Amino acid sequence: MSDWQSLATYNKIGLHRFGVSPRQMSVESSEIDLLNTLDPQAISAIHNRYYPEVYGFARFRVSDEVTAEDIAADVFMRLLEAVHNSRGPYSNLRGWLLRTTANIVNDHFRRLYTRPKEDSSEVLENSSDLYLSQSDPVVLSDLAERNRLLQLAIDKLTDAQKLVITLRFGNRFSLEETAQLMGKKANTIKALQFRALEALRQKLGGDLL
Amino acid sequence: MNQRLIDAFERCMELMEAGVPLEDCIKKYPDLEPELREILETAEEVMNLREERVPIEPMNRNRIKLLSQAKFLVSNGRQNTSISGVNWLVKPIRRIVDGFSSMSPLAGRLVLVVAITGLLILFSSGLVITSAKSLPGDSLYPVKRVVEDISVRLVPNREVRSEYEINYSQQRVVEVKRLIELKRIQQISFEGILESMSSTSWIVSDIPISITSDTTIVGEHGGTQSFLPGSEVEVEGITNAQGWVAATEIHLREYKFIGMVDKITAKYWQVSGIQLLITSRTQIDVGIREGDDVTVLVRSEDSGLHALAILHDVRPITTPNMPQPNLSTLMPSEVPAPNTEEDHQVSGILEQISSNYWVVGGQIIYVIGDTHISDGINIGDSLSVNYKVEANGSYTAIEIEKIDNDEHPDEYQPQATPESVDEGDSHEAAIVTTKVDDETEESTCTPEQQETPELTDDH
Repeated sequence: MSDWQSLATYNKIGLHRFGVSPRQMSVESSEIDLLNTLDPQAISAIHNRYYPEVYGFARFRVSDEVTAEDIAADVFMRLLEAVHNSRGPYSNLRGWLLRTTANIVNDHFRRLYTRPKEDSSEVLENSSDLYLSQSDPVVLSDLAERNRLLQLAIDKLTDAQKLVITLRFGNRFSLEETAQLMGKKANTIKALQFRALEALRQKLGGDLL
Repeated sequence: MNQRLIDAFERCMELMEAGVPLEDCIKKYPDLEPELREILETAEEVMNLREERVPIEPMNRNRIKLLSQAKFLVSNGRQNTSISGVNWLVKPIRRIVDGFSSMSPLAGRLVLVVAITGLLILFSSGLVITSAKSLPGDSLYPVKRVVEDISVRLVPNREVRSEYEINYSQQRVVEVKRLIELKRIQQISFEGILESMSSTSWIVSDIPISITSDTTIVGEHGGTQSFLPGSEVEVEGITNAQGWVAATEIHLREYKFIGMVDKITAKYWQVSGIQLLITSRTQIDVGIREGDDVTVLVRSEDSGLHALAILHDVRPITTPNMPQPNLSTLMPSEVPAPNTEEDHQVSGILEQISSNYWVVGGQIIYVIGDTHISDGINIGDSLSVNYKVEANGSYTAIEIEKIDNDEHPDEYQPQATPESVDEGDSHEAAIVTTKVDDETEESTCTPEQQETPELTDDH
């Protein structure tokens, strides 16, 4: 499923709507205009500005930094391809990048879940992306294990809950920024975030907390 | 859901972000303590997932890879997608739609509904139909022109588009005739065929045009000599109550000129300072390079001068006995040959000396072996040139004489360049330079010497 198809699916169920302030939109519009020329300086500036946010988003959701780096690289490569094919962002570059990151992360987990397996209960344990090998020195680390379980629990949240948790805790966006990016009111984001944390607590139960 | 609990949680989150311990936050809300503690502990765990460090090396690697990919894409050219043909329409619409997404969902939908409703009303209420009968100056006339522009742009087929353009061009003529009937005074422009011409009035597509000293004539030689009955012209002017159009400017739609190629790019060429748009239909001789002399056939369009043909200027330069090729056979369309028997005269400042032509008063005049040239002529001198017009429309100098400024002080003052008008000193410097050059013994100058006059050393 393409990014736009994914987005359409999200929009259909009213979960995934990104937006920005008019001022930022103006800045991003000029960035996009430069990006459309595939100007090296513009591409470099855009990469430097948004890479930390994209990487931060991915790193929060996946357990190892190499996968996060791959996802971030994939996001920017898709941006170039989209611009090249005249299907790039028109006004909301940040939203486009984070939306694409969210889609690639979701695809990443989807691939893990759909891998051929003998026993469905062993999916996650057999996943090299999610489970540290026995030879890894941090395999015994309680913190690493807790983080892994937490990331699995986050992935089981609804799309909107996943998004609000990632933007608020992974990217440290304020309530207002998150609300703008998701096209919702700040109070809605508060409630969504609260429900997401409650859901996480229930999913993790006594295992984690 | 307990709104107070949500608000308390949000406040505690802010405090914890600022470094306040969890226990201290909870103490602020003793009545909510159990629920608040559970949710805050979960939030604290989630917070620990955050990775603050962004790996610099992979980031730099990725940037390099990205730039490399961009370079590759640029070298391969931008792909034509199915929407590229209507991108001019899609892009602004998508921007507007994206703009709606920044509003709250309800407001965005409301604005979208209002916009769509407005458009429906606009197009369904007969506004477009009504505007079709409007004339220049009417309030609905811009709507009519926009609708025409859109319909032309939406036509995918080039031939059909050309038909549309011809129809709309004829529509302009009808509009002007109607304005004249109504005796309305209105700024207009239209294209038509020049049917007859006298010194003060022309007839273009049955519309009488008055020519005055203020009328700017833009044609092949900067005058009316290239305008002949049957020529396609564009007229700009003002209709009046007397039943004719007072022309402010008349363009010859197609004409040719000879010049030197200054610059060559994919989309346009610059020939003797004139920018020409290049299209897929432009006929260009093979092997033309910057610096070459060319004959150009151009067509004046709203978007600029479109080059119809750019051909090697193959006429002889310094060997008068060489037979003259008939350039009219190279032209994509017939251009009437001017009278070659008659001698003409032009006066002006010598601006440039090239290997085979001089530029006098902005006019390119070719110099051949038989051209009689007075001694001591330098760039900046006022010259009088007798010339003849060749069959291909170019000028060949018969005699070039220097005009003594002292004898005609009012008539032949050196022309100041725009820069020298701003800087009086440089104007004086140019005049002084001319005098210094006059004192030199050399009677001829190489192009290199002329193109780089040394102002500073002489002073």
